[in-house]
Order: sequence, then C-alpha cells, then structure tokens
Amino acid sequence: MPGSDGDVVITGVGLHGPFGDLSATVSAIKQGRSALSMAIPAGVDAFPPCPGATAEPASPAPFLPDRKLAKYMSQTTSLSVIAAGRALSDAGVIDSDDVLQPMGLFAAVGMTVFDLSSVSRAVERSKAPDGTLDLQRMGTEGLGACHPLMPFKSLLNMPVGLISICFNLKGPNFVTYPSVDQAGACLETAARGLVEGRFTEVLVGAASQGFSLMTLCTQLRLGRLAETVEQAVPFEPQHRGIAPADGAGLFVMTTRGTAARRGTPIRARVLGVSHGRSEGTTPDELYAVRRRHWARALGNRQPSRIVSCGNPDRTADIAEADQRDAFPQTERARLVSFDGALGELGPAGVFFAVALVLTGDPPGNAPIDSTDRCYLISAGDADGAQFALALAPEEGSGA
Amino acid sequence: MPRVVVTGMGVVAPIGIGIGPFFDGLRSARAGVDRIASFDAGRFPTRIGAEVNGFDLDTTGLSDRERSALSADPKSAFGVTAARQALAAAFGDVPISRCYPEERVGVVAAAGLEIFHLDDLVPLFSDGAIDGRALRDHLFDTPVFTNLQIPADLGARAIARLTGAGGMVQVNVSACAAGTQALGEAFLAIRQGVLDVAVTGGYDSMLNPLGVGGFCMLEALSTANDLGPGASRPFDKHRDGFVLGEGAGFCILENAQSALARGATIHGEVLGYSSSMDAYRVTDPAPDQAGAIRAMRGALASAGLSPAQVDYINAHGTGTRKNDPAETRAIKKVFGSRARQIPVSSTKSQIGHLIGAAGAVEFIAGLFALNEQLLPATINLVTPDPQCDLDYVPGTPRQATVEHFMSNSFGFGGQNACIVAGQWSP
Repeated sequence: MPGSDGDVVITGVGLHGPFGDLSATVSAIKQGRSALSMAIPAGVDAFPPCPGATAEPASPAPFLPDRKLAKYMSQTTSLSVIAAGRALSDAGVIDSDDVLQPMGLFAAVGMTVFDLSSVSRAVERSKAPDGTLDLQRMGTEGLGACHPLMPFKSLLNMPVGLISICFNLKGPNFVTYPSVDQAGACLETAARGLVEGRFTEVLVGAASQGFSLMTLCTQLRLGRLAETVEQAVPFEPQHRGIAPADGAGLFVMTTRGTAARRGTPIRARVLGVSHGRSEGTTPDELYAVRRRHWARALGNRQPSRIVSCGNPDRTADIAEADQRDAFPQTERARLVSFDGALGELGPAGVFFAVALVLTGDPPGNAPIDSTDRCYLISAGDADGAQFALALAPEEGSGA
Repeated sequence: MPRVVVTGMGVVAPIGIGIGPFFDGLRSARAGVDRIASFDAGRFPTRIGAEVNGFDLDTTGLSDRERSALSADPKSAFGVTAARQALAAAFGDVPISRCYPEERVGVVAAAGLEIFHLDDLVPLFSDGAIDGRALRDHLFDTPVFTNLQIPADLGARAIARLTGAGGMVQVNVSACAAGTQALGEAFLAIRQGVLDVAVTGGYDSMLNPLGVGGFCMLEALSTANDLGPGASRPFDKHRDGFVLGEGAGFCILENAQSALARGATIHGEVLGYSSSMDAYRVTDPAPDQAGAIRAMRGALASAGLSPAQVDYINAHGTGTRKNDPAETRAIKKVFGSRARQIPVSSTKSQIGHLIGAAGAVEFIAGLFALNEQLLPATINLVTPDPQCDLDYVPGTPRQATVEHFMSNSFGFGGQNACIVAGQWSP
C-alpha cells in the first residue's frame, strides 16, 4: 500500500495474551505448548468446564500516569493499555509526545464482559421474595448497592479512552466491535489514513476477553464452543468448535518515509488489507467471498504461508485448504493457525497472528526460502465475517 | 477525489418514525420526553426518558428468529427500520445490487451497548454469587439471544443482509461519538475510493433498567421528573443533566458521480469530517476544550471551509452542567467573533440523548435545516445560562439561509467527532 511517503509499515508490536508478552508467546509456541485447558470461568461455580485460556496475569501499572486510573479499568481495558504500551515502546516512541499527540488510534473490542461481581450485591438487593427482579427494590436499594465504577467497566469505548489518557494520544480514532472483521476495519482505516496523510503514525489493534462467563454462555448457546481442548485445534480431524481466550494486540504503523526520518526499525510492510461480510451459508459461498478478499489483499503476490484465524470447525478448515489449493497465488502456501495453542482471540487474534508470523519460525510454519516473502493473514467467523491482510517482513528486521 | 452526497434518509425517533413525521416534529418543536413507560422506573432517581412510541416490530422485515431476539432489545430493530427507510428513499424498489457491485456497497453503523437482561439474571443469583447449575439449565431452556447478553451488532448484520453489502461492514461503538464517527468513516471510505455507496448511521436504546440505572449511578441524568417534556434543557441555567432517548438514524451516502448518473435525488453533500481525543480524564471533558476544538477545526479543514462559511451548528448540547458551557467555549474559540452570529441548537432538547445513535439522528436534523431552510429549535431553553451565551434558537424553529452546517458529538471517555455538510452544487 504505497503512499506518497512510501509503504505502510509496522514499526511496533505489543501484545499480551495467554502466555504473556510477545517474547513469552513466541517461546511457548516454539516449544509446542498450548495455553488451552478446561476451566470454569471466574465468578461462578458448578458450571461445566469450558476449553479456553485466560491471559497471563499482568499489571498495567507501568503505563499509568496516575495509579487511580486503574479503578476505571476492566480486564479488557487493562490488556489494551498493556499491549499499547508495549507497542509504543517497541516503536521507540513512548516518550515522544510530539509523535504521540497526533497519533491515530483505531481499536476493535470483543463482546462486553459484564463484571458480575460488581453487580452481585445490587442483584441481591433487587430481588423480590419469590426470587425474581423487583424494579421497585432495584430503584431504591439495588442501585445503591451496585459498585459505582461498574458503568466504566462496561463501556465498550473505554479501552480507547484509557489508552488515549495513558499515552496522551489525541488524534483520529474509533472503536469497533466485536468480530474478527472489525480488526480489518481498524487496519484498513489505519492504512488508508497513512496513505492519504490523515496522520503520520497510528496505533491499531484489538482486545478481547472471550473466556468470560457471559460470553461463554452466548457461544455455548450458539453451539460454537468446542467440548474439549482437542476439539479446538484447527486443521486437526476432530476440530469442532472454538476455545475462547483473552488477549490484546496493538501495532504502531507509519509510512516508510516517516520511519526512515525517525530512524525507527521497520518490522514489516503492509501489502494490502481487505475485509467485509459474506452472507453465504455453504463453505463454497463463504470462500468465494474469502477468495475476493485474499486477491484484494495480495495483489499479484504469492504468500509463503497463510495464517488462519477463527475457523470454527473442520468443514471450514477443509474449505479453506481447498481454496488455498485452487487459488493459483496461494497453492504453494503453507496453511497454519495459532488458535489451537492460543485459543480464539476474536479480533485480537489477527494481531497475534501477525506478531507470531513475523517473529521467527514457530512450528507449523514452513521455512522461509523466498526473497520475496509474503504472508497472508486470513480470518473469518461463523457469522460470515471476512478479513485478509497481506504483509512482508522487512529484510534485516530479524523477522 | 470523489464527492460524497446524501441520497436517502431514515429515522426512528421519539418525535416521529420516518423522515416526514420526524421533520414535522422538528417543525413543531415537539418534545419527545415523558415518563418512562417501557418498564417500571417508579423508584429510580430518573423516571423520564424519550421513548419511541408506535413502533411495530412486525413491519421491520426481520426474520422470526431476529424478531424474537429483538423483541427484548429494540435498538437493532430501530436501526433496521431506519436503514430500510433510507434505502427506499434512495433506491425505491430497485435493489441496490442493480446499481452497484456488492463489494462497492458497505455498511458503517454505530451501535449502543449490549443488553444484559436483569430479569433473566436475577433469579440465577444466590447468596451474592451466580448459581452455575441454574445458569446452565437456563442456557438450554430459552431461545438463543433472548437471555442474558444480546450482541449489539445484530442490527448492523441485519442491515448488511438486507442491503446485500459485500464491502466493508463496520460497527462503531465509540459511545456518544459513535454516530458521527460512523457517518464520517463512511464519508472517508467513499472519498478515498473504497466504497461507492454506504448505508450509514446509528441505533441505540439504553432505556432499560440497567441502562437507566447505570447512568443514574454516574449522576449524568436529569432528575427533573416532574418537568416531563420540559426536562431536557440544554444551555438553560437550570439544566440538571441529560435525558436518555432511543432511536436510530441512517443515511445513504453515495459517490456523487454515480448518484447523478442514476438520477438520484440529492439531499446534501458531506464535505468534511474529523475526530479527536481529549486524553484528559475518564469523567470530565478537557478544561481547555482542546479535543473538541481540534475536531471542529479538523472537520472545517477537511471540508475546505472557513469558519465564516458555517451557517448553523447542531450542537452536542446534552444539558449536563459541564458539557454545555464547555461546548460553548469551544465554539467561540473555533469561530471567534462570529460565534455569536451562528445559530446553534440542540436536538437533544426534543429527543433526548440517543447515545450511539445521537450523531446520526442529529446529522439528519442538520439536513432538515439545509433542505427546509429552517433551524431546529432548542426547546425548554427558558432561563439563559450566563456561561452559555450564543444564539441557541430557543423555543421555536427559525427561518434561515443555510448553505453549510456542522454537527458535533463529544463522547464520554473523551472521544470527539465533527462532521460538516452543505447544499449540493454540481
């Protein structure tokens, strides 16, 4: 995606997920470890164990200008701030206020995590004697017993609000929700904005907390949840369902010209982004649309590997592999997924996939033997969300 | 760069469903605020809201499954209805696919929060914690979506389906700034050649026990329950908070050249858009209004207009103690000595605060001013606040020459968005 100031490039990567930061995640993947386990979501007992992964515990404290900000932060917001801080540090701009202030910020978030613990007292005090909701009691006793910061932790735009406050970002922005194609909305807007000169640097990413009770309930009801860890591994014969996970990934993107002027190392070049939605119901219909997105992202390039995110089951795996084989540009590409090790990270999965494919050669990745290296990140979900991102690692970046 | 025009509009609002009734409501300065009727808010600190009345879910064209889901969460149905109106206005009975390839058609929507059903949740709590066994039984005993958590993007997906959109589908959740951001991002996508046409706008309803309760906890809502229709009082000295509203507004934005080629009626041209962040506090707008100022100046620059060319501002104008003087100061800083000559009004005085849908419906109120040459009023502005000393078009609409207007949205959490539109001139 070349603009007047050169290619759109990635200069900073920050993430935090089931294994922790990027280094820990790469190390774990290289060791063949999986973060998935059967667990009961927090805040409930006597619930059937579900496959998934929570994020490694971490504190956003190093990135908070005021410790009091922590009280407004949900786990999703906390993960977002941590990943943002790491991305800005990685790009070497975290102390450069002149860079940070005009920076754009486009982030996608997963479904709302309703913090049941913050409303439990309120709920108890909103009950009628027969155990049902009593609005009269809610209006008098219930609201007064609710944790006063509950609304802040429920608002979907808080990750962007808190990132902007923590790092003094004041530029163009939005927050999208909740599926994997919304990562595409963020990446495409960021790339277009750089090409058009709307901003010269942009922070773009996603956060999702899929392994939370209410979200698991929704996935369970929709029949999307795997029953075991083994069932949640894409491209394995028993793949049937997803294992939701928690994590956030954000990138700093800029133009090659800006990176050169700042002396910032480039991690990767963005070749193309495409996203949309398919109303197809059969794998053939779905992948006809996906092929369009692949073609749009790739241009005339041939990827050495395709990283797949969010495939819900074996049927989708086979359809994607068939498409890979049938599409001349991709027939030689290795098809891999990190969902079986990390879990399904919603829109954040795209950023984990990019970070991992750029960092070394985790198992499952074919050795890089071409000088014209190109990777395709391909994502979709059971609702027809479609996303494709093509990128090339920068020579000499270590990727 | 392609020019971007508005070729269709649709509204579901507390003062009218459909463009005709909505415009009639603006003309007659009707108040949409009344006592909350959709649930028993009798013991809540705030018992008033601007509800949509007379909405018929059966006319939305949704599937039985979707209707079943949305009967417990009307905002998506509002959105689908408004989008359907806008599509009909722009394309009549002609499927959009006959005019554009599907990949050139996008949906850029703003949505409110998910709905959590307390009446479903409460019986599952026992001794201060949720009973996992009861929850599990509950999960398999009720239809999908109608319990616990309803995803907020249902409406956007339904709109994408009815449109046949194969291009970008974006669901913006930037709270009070979301509606304007959706319109703005759709405008940019067409201007930058990504789309030829976008169905864009917002839908929201927080008028449920948890929504009203949450805003009560933030002490953001008016508690002037006895005033009823008079409670939403932006820029008035005695204002005491905003009044929650609900509804949806959608526009068809189109590449001007394509729209002209197919003989579309043009209701206005989108000229510029900008967004910004305060980076100040979670709870307060920046005291120097720098974020709001940056958004307004950015939108003017994007439009290629000077401050002297703006004839009307549709304000964010919430009616909270902090917002209204802050927005007034921001307008003064952007427009200088001309600020007092520019009419500024708050549509929230009539329809309340539609949160995620606010920017979209208020943009359509701006298009009303553009097309009718009639400025929507700020109703209930009786006692001027000395800190709010602009021309707020108090009481009744006013005839005026409107060539260009600006619409502001400033979100909780510090996200700001501003959009500028004008008369179409080939």
